[in-house]
Amino acid sequence: MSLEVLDPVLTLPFVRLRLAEDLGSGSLRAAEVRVDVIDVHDDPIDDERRLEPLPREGAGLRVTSGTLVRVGRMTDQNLRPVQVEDDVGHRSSAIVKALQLAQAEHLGDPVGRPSRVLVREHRNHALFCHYSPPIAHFATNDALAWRRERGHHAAVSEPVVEVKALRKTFRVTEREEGLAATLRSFVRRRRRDVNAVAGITFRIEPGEVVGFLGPNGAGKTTTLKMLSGLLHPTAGEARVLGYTPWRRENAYLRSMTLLMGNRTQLVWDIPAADSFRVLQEIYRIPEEQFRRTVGELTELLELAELVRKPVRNLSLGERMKVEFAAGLIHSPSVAFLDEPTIGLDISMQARIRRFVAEYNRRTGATILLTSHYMDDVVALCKRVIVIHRGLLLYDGPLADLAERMAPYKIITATLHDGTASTADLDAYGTVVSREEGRVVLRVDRQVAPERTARLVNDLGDRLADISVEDPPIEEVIDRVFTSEQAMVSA
Amino acid sequence: MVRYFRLLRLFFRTELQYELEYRLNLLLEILQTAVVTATSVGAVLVLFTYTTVLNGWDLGAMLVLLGCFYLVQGFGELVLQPSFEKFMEHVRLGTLDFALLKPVSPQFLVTLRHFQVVQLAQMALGAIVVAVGLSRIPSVGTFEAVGFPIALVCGFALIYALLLALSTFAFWFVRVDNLMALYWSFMDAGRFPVDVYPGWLRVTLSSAVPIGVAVTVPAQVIAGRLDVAGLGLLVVGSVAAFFLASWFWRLGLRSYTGASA
Amino acid sequence: MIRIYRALLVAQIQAASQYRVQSILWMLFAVIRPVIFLAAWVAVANAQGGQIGAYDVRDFAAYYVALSLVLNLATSWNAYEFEFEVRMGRLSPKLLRPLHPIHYAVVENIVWKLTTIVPLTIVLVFVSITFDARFRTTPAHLILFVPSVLLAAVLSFLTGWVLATMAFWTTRVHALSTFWDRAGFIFAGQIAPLALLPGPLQTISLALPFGYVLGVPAEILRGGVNVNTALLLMAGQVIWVVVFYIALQRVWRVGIKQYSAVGA
Repeated sequence: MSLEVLDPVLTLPFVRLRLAEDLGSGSLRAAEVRVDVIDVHDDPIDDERRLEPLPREGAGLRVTSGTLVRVGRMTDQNLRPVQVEDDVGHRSSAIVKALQLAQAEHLGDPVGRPSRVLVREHRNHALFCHYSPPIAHFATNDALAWRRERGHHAAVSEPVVEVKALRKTFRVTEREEGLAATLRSFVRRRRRDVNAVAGITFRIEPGEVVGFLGPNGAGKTTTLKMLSGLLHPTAGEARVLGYTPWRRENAYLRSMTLLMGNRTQLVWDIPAADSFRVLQEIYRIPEEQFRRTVGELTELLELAELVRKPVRNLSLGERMKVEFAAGLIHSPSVAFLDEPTIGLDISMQARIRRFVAEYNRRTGATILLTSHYMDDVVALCKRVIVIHRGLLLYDGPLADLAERMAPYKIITATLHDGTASTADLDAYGTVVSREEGRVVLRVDRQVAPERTARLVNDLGDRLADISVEDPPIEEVIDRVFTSEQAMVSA
Repeated sequence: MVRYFRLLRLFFRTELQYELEYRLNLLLEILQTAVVTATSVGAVLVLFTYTTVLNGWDLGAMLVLLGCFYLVQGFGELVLQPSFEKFMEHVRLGTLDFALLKPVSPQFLVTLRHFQVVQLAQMALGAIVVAVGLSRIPSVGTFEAVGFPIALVCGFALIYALLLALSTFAFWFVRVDNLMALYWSFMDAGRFPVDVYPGWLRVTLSSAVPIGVAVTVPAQVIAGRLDVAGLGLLVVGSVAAFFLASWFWRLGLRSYTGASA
Repeated sequence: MIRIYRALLVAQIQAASQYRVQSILWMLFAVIRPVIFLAAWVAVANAQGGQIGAYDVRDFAAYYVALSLVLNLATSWNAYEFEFEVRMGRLSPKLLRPLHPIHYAVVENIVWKLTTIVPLTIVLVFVSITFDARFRTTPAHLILFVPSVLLAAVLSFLTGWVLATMAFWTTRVHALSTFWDRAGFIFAGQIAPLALLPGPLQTISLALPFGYVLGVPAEILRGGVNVNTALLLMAGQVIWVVVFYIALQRVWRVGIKQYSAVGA
């Protein structure tokens, strides 16, 4: 990632930067970024001073109200303003200081994790610096250049998960019914290759919560198993946190976790608290950190009453909660969740979802989740990866998915009189369903507003209620699956 | 290595806590063990009302052998049987994955995980029977005294190796309970010295199902019927079996995770 | 009743074909124990010049082969399953049907024996040859063997069920079973033919039911006792069968009442 300052004079209330990223194999991704620097004080900024090397860390930076730079996490929700005083008054260095401050905050974080920093495209004209703590050091001389220097590591973000052309093929033996076929199969087995995963490529950045969608047998769980290290791929590469997962190196295993819905790793007969202690020993978690993490998880998941009971005495929902705690007790940086809410009742599903979101917010852990329940994905994931028949069909924001795959809207018109005569309504759009007094139409997205207006106009008094909605996400997904083309988002 | 001992102790303590909660159960099981051991000793005594020597083994040596049998069987039921049973359940239910993703050797985590603490009583009773048998043996030299625990540990290792190798088939066939159960039934033959059995059975009990070796050899050592060479052979054999079985198990594991051979 | 049994049999045979392999393995376990003790006795006999009491090496072989056969034909395992059913609440639906639950167990038992008898015979023939067994059986013995082994099977079944019924009052049936089995281990003729049990033990064994399940039919089959003694021993079998039949009736009635009172 390279950074280039486009505005040589730093008197403007913003700074424009150019970020360029080399994606490998000759492709480059570049973006222009604009940073707004908001002054709270009226003190004039001395613009004659040039970029000066910042003092090394720990030397005389004071934090008071001053230049405000927005520093935030990956998603819009997590912006936290950071106030910095720069006694030399350089905006550009203010950015760096803001980041340093964020770093300092997180150095106080009890859970040490590798640090990554990512500078991303702007939204709303602000520079978003995404970090997952702790950040070791920043380059200081050239304030806007991230460089490794002696004693100063400024790392541009590396993706947490990097997958290239990953493939997994299973060999299954086929046999027909009947005695003759059984005997035949003794002598000669018919083998068939099943491409569970047929070559997928994607990357996941730190702190993301990504949902894997796909019908049964699409390859989601197989992908997850390869990323967690349980399966060797047939071809392709994958790296998680810089490790090759299927080598299952201890260092990797200590920073990741796999949670499978409906399957428990806890010993049935003993209370969960005892299982936690065993896990503490296995992961070598220091006592202080262990107590703190357990405390946090107990609070977040409301486990106080549950941990002393033998696991077999807990209900399914309670067991899932305890299972989550056990899976996160070593504070992993990456969590793979395979159908985490399966079999749970609605309220428990909601609680688990809230927990996952909160956990991601608090710790910045990267989360990959597969689920059948659209609600899980809608609630948690800004980004979805759709897999079907082992191929990647879509990779991008969930919101855009609807727009891309289902470029239509659903108009539901409720009429006063019982009769919903179809003749006239056919003209407005494709009639999807017709019940007493209610008609559901499918209308092209582009023309939806116009058609709605016309409907309201034409129906006048007859219209009791009208709603215009995006198609239900399940329908969107269905359409994705039935589409024959593989679509990869830019 | 120290860490693995700590983990073992933790596994043991956890199960102990659990078993201690059911005091009545524990007491009953200890009682059962005592009854079983007593009746087995009774059986040996009945045999010896008709003779003073059985294939060269006198009553003292026979009791030592019986004690060794309960020591070895007790060890098997203490940690191996519950752990391997759980292992096969894991393979069946798909929960083995959890064990593979911990930063600890999967073989350790799977094969030495679960304890049936009450079996310590079985082992203790076995030790008592050995002591009783020893009291009837005139002299026990240093070689015998030192060689005995060594031989015993080798016996444990042999049984471990066999169970490990058998359970590896679970990776391919999933349900191997029958195989395991068949093995356990052969174990019963360890209550008598392996040389009383006819040729084919004796060979089986010295190789494929090494219970014969695992029990008879320690008894031979302490009864002064084995020399250094024999003991050395046992040690070498046990170590070899252990490594061979571990290698085989890892092979099965690689097949399970789809690693190309 | 015949029709019901026929239906149950058919169903059970189909079910049993599922775990054929398991049944055969179970059978093998049962064979190994007698072979172990046979080997031991052969060693003892050899140390004493080849003969212990009325038994020489070949007699021991015949005895233990016969014992294996009887073991298989007279085995029952109800205690564990019944306790399981009571605990899991699976007994209740059975109670609601117009058929005493014991009949299911009878059918299961018969089918298992049918499944295993052929492989067992093959194994036993092999063992007989290996140990050079000598059978002193006469046709009279064979004729007497049939009712004797039937009585033994019934007796074993009944005692097993009385034990099983204890599940109405305690969950410790497993422990009870173990104690019962170990008593049988000593007194039924497994560790030694009954005639060879040392004095006091032998007297006790004649007074307890265990010997009448295993030792007696085994000796009859082997031809180890003359016809008169055989008839006497069989009378003993009949007495025990009656005793346990009455016991079972009583215990079952009380148990069921208590079970329903608690809420089946």
